[in-house]
Amino acid sequence: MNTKINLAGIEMKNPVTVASGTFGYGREYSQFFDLSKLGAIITKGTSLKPKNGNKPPRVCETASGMLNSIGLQNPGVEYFAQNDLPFLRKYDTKIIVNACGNTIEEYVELCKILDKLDIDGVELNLSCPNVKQGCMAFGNTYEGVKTVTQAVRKVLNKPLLVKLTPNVTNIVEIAKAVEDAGADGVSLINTLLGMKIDIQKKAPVLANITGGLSGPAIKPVAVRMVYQVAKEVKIPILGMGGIISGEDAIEFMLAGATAISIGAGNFIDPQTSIKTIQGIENYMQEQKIEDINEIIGIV
Amino acid sequence: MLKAVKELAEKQNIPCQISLEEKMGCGIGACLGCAVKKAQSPKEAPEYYHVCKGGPVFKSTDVEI
Repeated sequence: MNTKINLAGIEMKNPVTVASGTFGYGREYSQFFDLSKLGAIITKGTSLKPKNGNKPPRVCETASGMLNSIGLQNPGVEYFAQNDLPFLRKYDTKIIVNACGNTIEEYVELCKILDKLDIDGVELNLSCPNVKQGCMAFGNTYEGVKTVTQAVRKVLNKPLLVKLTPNVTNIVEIAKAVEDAGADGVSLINTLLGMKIDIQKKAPVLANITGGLSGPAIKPVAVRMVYQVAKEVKIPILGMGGIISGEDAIEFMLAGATAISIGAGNFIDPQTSIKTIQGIENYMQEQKIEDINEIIGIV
Repeated sequence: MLKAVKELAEKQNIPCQISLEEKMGCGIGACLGCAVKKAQSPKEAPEYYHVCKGGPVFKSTDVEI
C-alpha cells in the first residue's frame, strides 16, 4: 500500500499535514505523538518581525466549530530559525513555513530569508482575516494575489504554496492567479469570517469583533471549493477545513486535494492527525486501493 | 471579583495570586487563544501571557485584567 504523495514538489510519506496556527511549532504536540508520523508540519504564521497578537478574548466556540482572532502572534522569523527550526528538524517530516506580512516588501524580505533556511517549502498566507493590513487584503482579488505571489516567486526557489481565503466571490478566479503567478500549489481554505454576540452583555464575544470560523461547520464549503478549483487549475491542492477523520480526508482527496491539513481538529484531540492517517489506511484496505494517488480528484 | 481582589490586595500591599479563566482552543500552549495582558506592557504594543501554559495562577501584579 502506498500513501506517499508529492505536493508541489514536496515528497511526503503520507498526505496528512497540520494546519498553520493550530500546531504552533510542534513542541506542544510532540508530548502526545511522534511528529515523524506526519506527512508535513505547517508552522504557525511567521512574520519578518515578532507580532504580539490581538486583544483577548481571542477564541470562542460555535456550533460544530470555533471562531478565532489570534492576530498572527508569533516570535518572528529570526527567532524561529534559531529556536524552533532546529527542534523541528529532529523529526523525519517535511517542514513548510506559513509566511505572513503587511506589505509586499515584507513578504519578499521574509521569503528571501526563508529561501536560505533548511525548510521544505513555504505557504504564503494571503488569507488571515484577523489583521488590519496585508494577508486577506491581498488575498481577495485576482490582481492582489498575482502581484504578491509573483514578487515572492522571484526570490523563492523552494516549493511555494499560496493559502487562500474563502471570503471571496469566485475562488476559482483567485486560485488561477496563484497558478498564473508561477506558484507550485494552492492551500484551500483559510477560515470564514464570522461573528458571535454575547446576548447578556449585548456585545461581540471577540475583542476583535469578528474572527475566523473553522472546524467541521465549514467542511462542506471547503470540499466545494477544492472541487471547483481542482476542475480549473493544474497545480496541486492542499485541502483543509473541518477535517477530523480519515473519512473527511478521503472526501477532500476525492474532490481533488493531493494532501490535507488538520486544523481545529487538533484542538478536539491532539492525536487527530495521526488517527486521520490510520483512517486513510483503513479506507484504502477496505476499498482495495493500492496507491492513494489513484483517488485524487476522481469525483 | 478577581479584579476587585487584585485591587484590594495591591492597595493593602498583600501578596496575592489569582486563578484566571479564559476560553481556550488547544489547552496546551500551541494556539495562543487564551491570552491575558502582561502588567506594565506598552499600551501601543501590549504583550500577553497565555492562561493554559503561563497560568492559570498568576501573581496579581503580573497581569492586567
